[in-house]
Amino acid sequence: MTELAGKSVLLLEDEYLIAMDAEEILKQFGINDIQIVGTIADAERAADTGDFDVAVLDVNINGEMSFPVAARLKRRGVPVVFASGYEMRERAPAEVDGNLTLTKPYTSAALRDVLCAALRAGA
Amino acid sequence: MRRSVCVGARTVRLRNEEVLGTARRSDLGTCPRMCAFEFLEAAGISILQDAATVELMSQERAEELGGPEGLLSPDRPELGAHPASSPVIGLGASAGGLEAFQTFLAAAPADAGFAYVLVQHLDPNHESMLAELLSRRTTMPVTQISDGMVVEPNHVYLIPPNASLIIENARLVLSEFSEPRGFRRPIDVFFRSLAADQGPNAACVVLSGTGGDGSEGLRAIKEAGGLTLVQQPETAKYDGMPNSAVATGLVDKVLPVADMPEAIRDYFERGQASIFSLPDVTDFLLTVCEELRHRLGHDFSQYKRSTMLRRIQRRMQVVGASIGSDYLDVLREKPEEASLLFRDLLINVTCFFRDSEAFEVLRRDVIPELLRGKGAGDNIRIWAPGCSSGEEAYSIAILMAEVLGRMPTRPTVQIFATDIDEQMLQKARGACYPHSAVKDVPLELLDRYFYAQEDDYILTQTIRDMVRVSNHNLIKDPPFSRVDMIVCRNLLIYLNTSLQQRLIPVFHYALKPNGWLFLGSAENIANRNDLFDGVDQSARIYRRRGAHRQSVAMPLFVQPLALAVANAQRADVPRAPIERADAASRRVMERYAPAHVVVNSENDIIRSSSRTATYLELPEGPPSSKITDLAKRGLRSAVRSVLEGVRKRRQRTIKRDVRIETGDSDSTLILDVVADPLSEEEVLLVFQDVGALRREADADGEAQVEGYSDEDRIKQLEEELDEARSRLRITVEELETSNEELKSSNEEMMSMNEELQSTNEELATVNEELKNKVDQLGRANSDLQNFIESTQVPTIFLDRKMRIRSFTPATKALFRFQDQDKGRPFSDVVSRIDHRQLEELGEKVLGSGEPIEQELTIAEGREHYVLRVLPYRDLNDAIDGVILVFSDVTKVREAQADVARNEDLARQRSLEIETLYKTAPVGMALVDSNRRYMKINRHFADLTGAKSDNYIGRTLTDLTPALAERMEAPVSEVFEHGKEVVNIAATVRMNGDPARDFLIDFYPYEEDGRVAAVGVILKDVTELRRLERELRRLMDELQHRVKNTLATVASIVNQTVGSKTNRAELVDTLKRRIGSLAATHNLLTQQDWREASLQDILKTELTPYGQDDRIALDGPPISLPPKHALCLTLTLHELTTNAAKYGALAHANAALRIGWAVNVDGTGRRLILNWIETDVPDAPTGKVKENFGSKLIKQAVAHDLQGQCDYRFEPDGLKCTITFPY
Repeated sequence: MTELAGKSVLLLEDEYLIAMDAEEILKQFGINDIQIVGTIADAERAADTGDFDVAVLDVNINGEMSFPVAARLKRRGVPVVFASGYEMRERAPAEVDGNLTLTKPYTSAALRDVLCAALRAGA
Repeated sequence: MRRSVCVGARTVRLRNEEVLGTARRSDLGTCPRMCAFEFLEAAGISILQDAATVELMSQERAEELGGPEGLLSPDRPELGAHPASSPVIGLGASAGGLEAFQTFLAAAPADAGFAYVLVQHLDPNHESMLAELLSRRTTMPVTQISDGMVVEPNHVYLIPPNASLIIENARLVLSEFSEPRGFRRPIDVFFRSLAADQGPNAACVVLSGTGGDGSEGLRAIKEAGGLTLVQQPETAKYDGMPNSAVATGLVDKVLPVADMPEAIRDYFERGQASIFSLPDVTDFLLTVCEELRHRLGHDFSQYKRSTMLRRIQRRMQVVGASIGSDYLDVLREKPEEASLLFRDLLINVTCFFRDSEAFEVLRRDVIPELLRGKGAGDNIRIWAPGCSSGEEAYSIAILMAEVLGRMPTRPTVQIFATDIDEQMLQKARGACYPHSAVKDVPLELLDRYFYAQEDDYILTQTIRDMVRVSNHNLIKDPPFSRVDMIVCRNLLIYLNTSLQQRLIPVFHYALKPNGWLFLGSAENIANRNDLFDGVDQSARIYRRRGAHRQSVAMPLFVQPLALAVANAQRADVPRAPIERADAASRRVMERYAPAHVVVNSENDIIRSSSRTATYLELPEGPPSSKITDLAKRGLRSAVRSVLEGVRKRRQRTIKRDVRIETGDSDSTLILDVVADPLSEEEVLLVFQDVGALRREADADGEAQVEGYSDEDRIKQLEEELDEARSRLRITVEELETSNEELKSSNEEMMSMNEELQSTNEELATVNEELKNKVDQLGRANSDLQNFIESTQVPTIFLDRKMRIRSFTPATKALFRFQDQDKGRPFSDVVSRIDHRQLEELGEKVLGSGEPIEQELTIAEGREHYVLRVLPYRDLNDAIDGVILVFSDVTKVREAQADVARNEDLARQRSLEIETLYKTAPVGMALVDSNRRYMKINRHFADLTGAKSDNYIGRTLTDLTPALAERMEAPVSEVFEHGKEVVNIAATVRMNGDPARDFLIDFYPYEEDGRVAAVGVILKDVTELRRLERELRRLMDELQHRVKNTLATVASIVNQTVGSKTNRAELVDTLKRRIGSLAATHNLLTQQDWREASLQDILKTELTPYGQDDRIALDGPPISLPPKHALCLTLTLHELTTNAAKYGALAHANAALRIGWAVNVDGTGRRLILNWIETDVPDAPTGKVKENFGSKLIKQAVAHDLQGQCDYRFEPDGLKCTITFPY
């Protein structure tokens, strides 16, 4: 088991198959408290009401950027990991930490490393 | 002052009466000189008078000299009445004159302020080049005189040929000569008029020449107070004229020609300063008079002060003395100065019958009275004191002769002409006068009593015999006595009043009772009405009163201290009387007088008569001229004997009855030989043939056989001899006369020769100059020739008839000229140019005189020439042909054509550029260094919102405020570094429009190597920027989708791998799942990834299962966005897969019905799709094993599309309803 076991995760992903895959991986890490949302609006609701150790946000949700969700999460002290199909380093908003990003399609190892980093940074 | 004069006069008179008392005792005879001498001796006058008297006299003189000018002016007021603005210098020359004139003018300063009038003896038939020749020697204008010219200073005037020149009122007047050629004296004529017109304002210069022209004129100049200069005879080419002038004794200076201008200037400059105003002028005058008296014995102290001063000043000017003391030094140191001053003081101008009215009275009233009742034995004595050159004395003589001629018996008339000026007296003795002096003589008298010689008039012997000329001083010498008339004109006026008053009694003393006194028109008898009665006041004729001689105060108180007159005059031998022997005497001499010879002391024959052949013959042996050798044999002894006799006794000696044999017959000739002494040496030998006379005498019976002793015979013979001698003398004189005539002709020839000489001199000089000119012309010609040969410009010279005069070698390109073509008609020459055209142009220029220029094109337009046709002007500027000048302009024309082409190209380019500039889709502008727009194009205006029609000169800020800030710095940089600055981005908002993006380039625009302006290129990149952003977004989107797709595929693989254990089944499942996804990708790609049709997705999915009736699709056309399309694809794929495995598609009788519709209610639009399987046998009911497919079907739509999926098995098959917002 890893240090991730038992953590609660908010997963924002508009593609069902990708979200399902990510859920599989997270479960392998021992993470069972996973809330999957497919829209910005759901994500914002979850961010405001839920209680997460870490959030994995897909940047582009149906053409809409997920940064405001990240901002809400950060205000609540939830570390955020961005997942995106494209390289984000140059164009990410200032509040995005370039180290806490994932390039899709990501492997389980990549997900684990970035989640660990996020949890460390958040701690 | 007057009082003092009276006192003085009285004192002197007292003293002189004493002297006269003694003087009267002496006999005042007809020889005044001798009388004076005797008289002086007799009087025993001591030269030194007592101090008191001298004192008084000095005082008197001083008073007189210091007094105002007398009423009478001794100078001739008419002289110099019209002075020119400057002194007029007359120069006269003849042979050798050209050289003299040249020397003079070369030395004459051009600004001396004199007018020079040159008179030369010129050949009347030859145009003179004198003006031209002389003008090279001076910068003054040299003008040949035309009639009426006014003399101006610093000008040189030249007499024209064949004209007589005079000056009147400062104008030069020309006239024809009145005398025949050879008798003309143009220099005298001009000088005389110059003297009369300009007086002291004139100077005359006599230069080289033969003859005596100029001398008389010089005299006139001198008399009028002008300056007289003469060229040094030894420096003159011909010294005749200078010598003649010097001989007048009136020359002020004899100089080399080159020194003359300076002397003239000096003279007239000194004339500016007057001695009249000197404070000690009286002392000065007295000293001068004293000096004169001391040297010459003549006292001028009683002369008029003004006259004295004027003439002394003149001398001072001549000798160069500026102040009185200087002149006194000269006077003391130079002995000749005293006599020169003396001459000047005595200058008087007179002429025959001066004051003709007075002479008319004399002729009418006085002369007849004077001669009335006079007969052969009577003697008439007339005295003319102060006669000067004798004109008046001779005038009286002429009047006397007129009356005498009508008288039956003639009294002897003696006219005593006296003066103290020996030079003048010599003139009087010569009785030879210039024309000017006789101008008042009536023609009749002129004919009768004068004969002309050259230009002079000589009085006849009759008149000359009447006049005795002698030196006598009226003032100091005792007077003549018992004279019938005194003619004393224009003498008293030179004397002061007291002396005049003393002289009147002297005249009274000299005259017989009732004797006549004839004074000058300005003179009178000094109120001595007690001594004279006025006869005719206006003519100044008076008659002596009283029968007795009054005692007279003889003005005899001076005596020369220096007895030798400085300049003793040589006594002139009176001219031998010339009388014409009458014809009879001559005939007698020729035919009837006996043959005679004159022998000298050596017995040489010095003259012989005609018809001596009978008595003389040439002897044997050497020729001899001795009479003793030449006389015939029988005659020789007689000749010898009479010659011996006459030499011994100095008496006439006769040898009678000498017999000689004649040659041809045996006859014998009997003759008397008479020897008569003619002079100390000469003896006249007469051979008197007596045969005939004897016979006659024999016939008379009075045979005379007396020898020497026969007194009557001797007397008769003596008389005969006297007569013969007289005739001989006449003959001699005739000879002399003809000799004179010959001389005169000779002189005429000389004068003509002189003119020719002048001409010759001119011609020689001109010739020399012509030579030079020829040389110059030769050089010029050679230059021209070289020019013609070398010039590359084809040039043709044609004469008026279009014949070839000359051409340059370059013409051969156009014309086939040969050298021998010169002179041939132009049209004869083969030419490449149309002759007719050229000749027409030539004629036109000949007619108009205006040059023509025309272009010619030949050789079918390949050669171009510019033809200039110019008038050919000769030296007189007359048109004498034409000049054709061809300029080859072929190259020029070609170049011009090139230029034109290039210009067109350039214009086109420029136009293109301009068009481009206008239409270019970028903004373009030109900005000057003041940040002002010079030019903008339309696009620039459009881009910046500026007005394109009003931009020039507006600043960046003014015209383009929004861009100005961004433009300033680059513009400055370009101006500074001359390098372009590009891609300056600017995003500005203008006029409230949305912000626009610009890119601006700045380029230097260089002129002459410096940046003159900055070209601005303005590009609107707003759209570009937008497209860039769009592209970026699309790229992002693409990446996103691809990565998402990959992630999806990865997920499919993961899910599928987990659920399948059979490898083949696994691969097949994966292929179909991914293939399904790919199919929808295809559909989306066909629609630009915008949408995909629901039917198409269904058909693609269901195609593998056939299109039979089992499958029914029902619903409106629906286009689905990509996300929906992909999500539905996955869901429908799993439904289809399940149906094919277990459901409707697995059973042939089962059916699948898919229906859809769009439902719109309050929550929005929703798509409802029903998947209904029917008639499926053994349809699974209840719990179906959960797998990837069923999980995906139930959850994907909810997750991805926020929809629902109602998935349920019914007995006849699966029923699934999918709903999602649409």
